[in-house]
Amino acid sequence: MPKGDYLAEFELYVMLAILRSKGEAYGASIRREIEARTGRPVSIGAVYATVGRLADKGLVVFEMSDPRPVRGGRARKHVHLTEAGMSALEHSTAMLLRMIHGTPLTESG
Amino acid sequence: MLRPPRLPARIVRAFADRDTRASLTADLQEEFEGRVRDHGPRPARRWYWSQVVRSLPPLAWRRLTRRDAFWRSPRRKAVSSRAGQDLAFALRTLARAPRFTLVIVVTLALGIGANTAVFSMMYSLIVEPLPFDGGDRVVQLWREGQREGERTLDRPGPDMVAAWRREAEAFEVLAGFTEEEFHLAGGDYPLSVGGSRISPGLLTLIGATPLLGRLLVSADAARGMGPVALLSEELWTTRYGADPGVVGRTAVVNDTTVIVVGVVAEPAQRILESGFFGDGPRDIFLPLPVDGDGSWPSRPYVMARLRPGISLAAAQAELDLIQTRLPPASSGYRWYPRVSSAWTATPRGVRTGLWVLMGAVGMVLLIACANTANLFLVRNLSRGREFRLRLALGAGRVRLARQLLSESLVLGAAGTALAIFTARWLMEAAEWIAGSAIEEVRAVRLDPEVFLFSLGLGLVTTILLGLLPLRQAMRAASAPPRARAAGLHDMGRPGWNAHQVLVVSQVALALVLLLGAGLLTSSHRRLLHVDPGIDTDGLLAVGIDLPRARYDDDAGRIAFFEDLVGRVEALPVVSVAGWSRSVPPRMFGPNGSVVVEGRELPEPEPEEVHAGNWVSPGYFRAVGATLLEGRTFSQAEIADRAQVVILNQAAARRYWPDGGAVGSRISLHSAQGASPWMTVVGVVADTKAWWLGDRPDRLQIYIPVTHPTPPGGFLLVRSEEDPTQVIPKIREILAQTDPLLPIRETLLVRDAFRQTVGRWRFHALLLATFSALGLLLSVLGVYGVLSLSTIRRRREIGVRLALGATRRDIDRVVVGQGMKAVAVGLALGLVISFLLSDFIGDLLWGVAATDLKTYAGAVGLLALVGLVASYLPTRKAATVDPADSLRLE
Repeated sequence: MPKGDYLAEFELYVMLAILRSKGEAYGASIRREIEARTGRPVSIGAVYATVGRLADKGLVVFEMSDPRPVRGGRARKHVHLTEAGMSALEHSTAMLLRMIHGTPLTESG
Repeated sequence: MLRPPRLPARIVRAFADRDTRASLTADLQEEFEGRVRDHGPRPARRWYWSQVVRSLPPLAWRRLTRRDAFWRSPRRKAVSSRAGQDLAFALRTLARAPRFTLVIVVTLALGIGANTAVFSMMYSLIVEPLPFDGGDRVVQLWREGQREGERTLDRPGPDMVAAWRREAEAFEVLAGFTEEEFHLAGGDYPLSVGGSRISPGLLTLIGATPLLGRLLVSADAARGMGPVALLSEELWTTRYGADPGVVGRTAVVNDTTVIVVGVVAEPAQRILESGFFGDGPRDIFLPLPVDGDGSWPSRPYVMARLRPGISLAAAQAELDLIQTRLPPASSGYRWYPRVSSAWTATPRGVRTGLWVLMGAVGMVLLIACANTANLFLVRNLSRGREFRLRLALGAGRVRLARQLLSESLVLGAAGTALAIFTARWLMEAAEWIAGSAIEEVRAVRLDPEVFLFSLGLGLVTTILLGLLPLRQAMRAASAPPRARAAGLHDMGRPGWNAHQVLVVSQVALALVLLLGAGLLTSSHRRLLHVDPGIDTDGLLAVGIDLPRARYDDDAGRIAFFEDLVGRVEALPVVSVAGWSRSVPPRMFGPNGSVVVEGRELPEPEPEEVHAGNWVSPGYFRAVGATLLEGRTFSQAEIADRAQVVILNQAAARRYWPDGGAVGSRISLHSAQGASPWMTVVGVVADTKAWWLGDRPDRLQIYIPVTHPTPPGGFLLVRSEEDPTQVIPKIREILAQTDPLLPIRETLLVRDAFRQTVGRWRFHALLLATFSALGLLLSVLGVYGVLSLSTIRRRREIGVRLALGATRRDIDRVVVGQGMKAVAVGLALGLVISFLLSDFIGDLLWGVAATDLKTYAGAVGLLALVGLVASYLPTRKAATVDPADSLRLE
């Protein structure tokens, strides 16, 4: 994997959030997911900017959903990981875990 | 359902990409609705706002960096190549009109450059906080006395300062410092260095750091004039060869042995010498003596740093309150504490002067803009046809606008580039003109923010003006075709038009500038011609301080000076020498209210500050003061310390209006009590005591120099040749008398008097420069507009000639048109000047702000110049051939 393709911290969060939503991920859900799990405030703009960048790298794709079956329900722009996105995520998390393993972080925690 | 706030929604839309815009706002709205349900509308709205605000940076960054962003796209390449084309075209067009280009560029350079220079001065002297942390919170503390509507600002008394130090909560640091000269003995030669006694807080205040050793601490001060000293980095380098072992060594300062405890790093010294903390170099620092009750008996200057968040007014209120608890001063004099921001320490004269200069330079810029506008208008008329043609051939308006913009930008950029040099050159000139008269100007640097502002102004002007022809061309394109065909649209209308309005305003502004320059120049000239009351040519004053330790009694001091006077007088080129405690134009004398023997005691009034001096018998002959009555002191009176006094004419007239001063006895009553009765033995002519413009009625009281013998004074030497040639000889004599004694300063009295009016010279010269600039620019304006209108009226002139008008008639029409605008401009200028006359009054001396002669001169000069500028275009009219014009009709 070329050097420029390491995932930045926030990119990693976004991709993990997408993975968690099992194909139902969209802007607001990703935002809520990260905010809820990390406890740090996340702006919708940051999510969109990051998703856009990931799409440029070919790691995610968009798909318009059908309008939701409620009154005024709108079509959502769902985000999915691509093959390349999946392997990039696996690669980054594996590296991260290998780095963490054996440090005081793991021993004390 | 509650809708999200509209404004942030709009903002976030503007920042988002086209393809995320819709879903992003929809997402936001969805969450907003959820929050309205869960938390209520107000928190939801707040959440929405915070989301939007925090979203802007990442969205903006994304738009700038995305893969298909504009800057990376092929579209940009097309745009930039088109920009290149426009630029090349603009350069070609401008090169074809070199005179137009040159005049515009020079006009812009002068206008922007002069503005940048003056605004930079203004900024550094008036607005900019002191250059260290918390510098904007540094204040000066004074006491103010009020008497007969006059305010005197003074260093606060020890009791006030002690109370502030005990009680005031508004200040983080309160510091005091003196300005003194110290003798530094040892080394190759004795040295007189400027320095301060400081409280430790002063160095804290300015964030000073020790280069070596330590700074002063309060324990040093508690020991009174403790035997420790700090050196400046400069003194350490020059005197001690930057020897790191200097700390802990001793030095002899004012004949007292002190231990050097540290060296202050250079930036602190620069701040201390910047003028805010007094004048002159500071190279040595001793602790400020402290009394048992925490007061500073030596009455230093006091500065303080406000606690963050405390305003000037709050600090003032607190000091006022503390003052009410203090017992009134024993003299019955009422003092009021005053807190002033450190920058107001820039003297009032300098500030008013800068405001006037700023006004003047603003007017130059306006004139320059008017000129640029006029030139553009002229040029546009001749290009009207070009643009109509190009529009007709299908050129897009945007394309034409881009071309015009490119031309404007090229002109603006060239003008601005040149303006940088103009500004630097002007500031160097200002520094040179200010010389030593206005120390503060030296600290001035070209300010980048001010320059950016001027740059913006220049670019906006050129761009707006540059786009004008497009508007005109478009309007012309919709004019009736017949008028267009005949070219009638180019004909000048007989009434007032934009050109004439511009000329009128230029003339008006030029008149205001000329009047200001005239008034200031005449003030300066009058001041230089003031008779100082003494003969300053060939008069040299040599300042010498005697260290108390070695010259501890009057006899020794008298002997020293008398011996020196005798030896110097023996020099072949020296005609007479004397000595005194002070020297004009820095005279000071004994204070107190004058009480004449045998008359009723006057009402107790506050001490009046007199000029005057403590002098030796040779003093009056040396300075060349005219003795009007009686005699000067005798040698015996000096030696015996006789109770004798000499008054100046103003004092004699005030107390003996009918004569009879000589022989009467007076006493001086001051806070220290009454002096013994002193017999008036003589009356001398008034001397300008402090500066050339000093008031004529200042009382001057001379008493023998031995009352008491000062620890230092001035040797006054009148020489037949260049007095500077005498200085080395005096140095030799001094080395024989006392090789340890330095000369504190040498003063050419004539130059010292000149320097007292340096401020006027500075203002007069700068304003004269600006008004010359304004005059030149407005002449160009008048000439340009008239030439243009003459060209436009060629046909009319031809018809008139054909119908029998003579060349003289034609000249009269052309000149009359020009002079009409000039006359209106002059009238307008007079009105503006009258309105501004109060403002400049502060800067004038000996001349009224509405001085008739100056007004007549300025109006006459402008009228004459206007006449010439109006007459020149008639030569263009003279080339008109009536036959040609008729054929055209």
